Amino acid sequence: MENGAFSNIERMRALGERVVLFASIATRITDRKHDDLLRQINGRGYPALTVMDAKGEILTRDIDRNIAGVEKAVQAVIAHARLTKRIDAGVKGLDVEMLMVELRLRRLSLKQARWDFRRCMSRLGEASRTEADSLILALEIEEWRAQFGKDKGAALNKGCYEAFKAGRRPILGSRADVYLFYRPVLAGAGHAEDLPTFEKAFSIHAPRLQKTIDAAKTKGNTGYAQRQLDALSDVLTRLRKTR
Amino acid sequence: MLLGTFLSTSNVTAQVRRPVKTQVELKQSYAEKIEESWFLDADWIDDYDLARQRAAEEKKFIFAYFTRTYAP
Repeated sequence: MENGAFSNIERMRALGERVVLFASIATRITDRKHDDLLRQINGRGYPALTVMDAKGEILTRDIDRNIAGVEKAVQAVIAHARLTKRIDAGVKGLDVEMLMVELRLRRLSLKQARWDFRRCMSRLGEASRTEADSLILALEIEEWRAQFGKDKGAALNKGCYEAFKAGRRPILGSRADVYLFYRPVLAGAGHAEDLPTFEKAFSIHAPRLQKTIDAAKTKGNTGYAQRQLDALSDVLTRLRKTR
Repeated sequence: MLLGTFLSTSNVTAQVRRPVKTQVELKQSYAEKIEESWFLDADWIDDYDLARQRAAEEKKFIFAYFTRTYAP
């Protein structure tokens, strides 16, 4: 991952001016101190990204695995600290700013996020409202995914499909956008035999799959993306035939 | 015949399974990792105590990247 996300040395040096860059490298070397730090902080698996304070308290751990995602998370943590200081000093009327920062850090539960969003809605500008909705959608996707073991993805497919139909989108380039959203949208649209929605989502998702296939060709491994694209193309053909 | 099937399957499994790295090899992998350009060219630290100490001194947060040397 590092050779992709951290390969822009200029941006990494700029980031290093704002935060301490710490690489926790697990080695399995006997008796090496903090060798298994990720497990100690209840991390879910390698590679992982977090922002923490000087005491080691995790401030955010759900960060998109690219340099823009890291920069955004760092910016949000710094903004959160400044806001907290101002609120503690008695400054009022910062709840909208705090909502946006906490959403960006994914520090809110879905229930709390929805509640705060409704409360602040009238005071949010259009851009912030769109961003907040996208961030809440990412929380919803996580909740639907958590049900996967019980319903085999039914809630995820239905939720993403309905969100897409309602014009909602995860933030472009985010993990939710790239990996988690369009596949269930297409599954939901296919299940509902909804050709217009399927075509619309396919026109967004297929070029990205093709890009993955083209990039993987150099490594001689196009299997997964190609299989997915073939399966989606088959569904599209079937839906067009049955229309 | 069953025994033969078992033996041939075991043999395949043994061939597929990755060999366990020795401590010398693990140290070598670590030495190679910290020589990579992403680590060397930016100001990365791989010592947790030092990272926290620097964060406290410079009043900064820590961006932590967790990786490993013993698997791809």
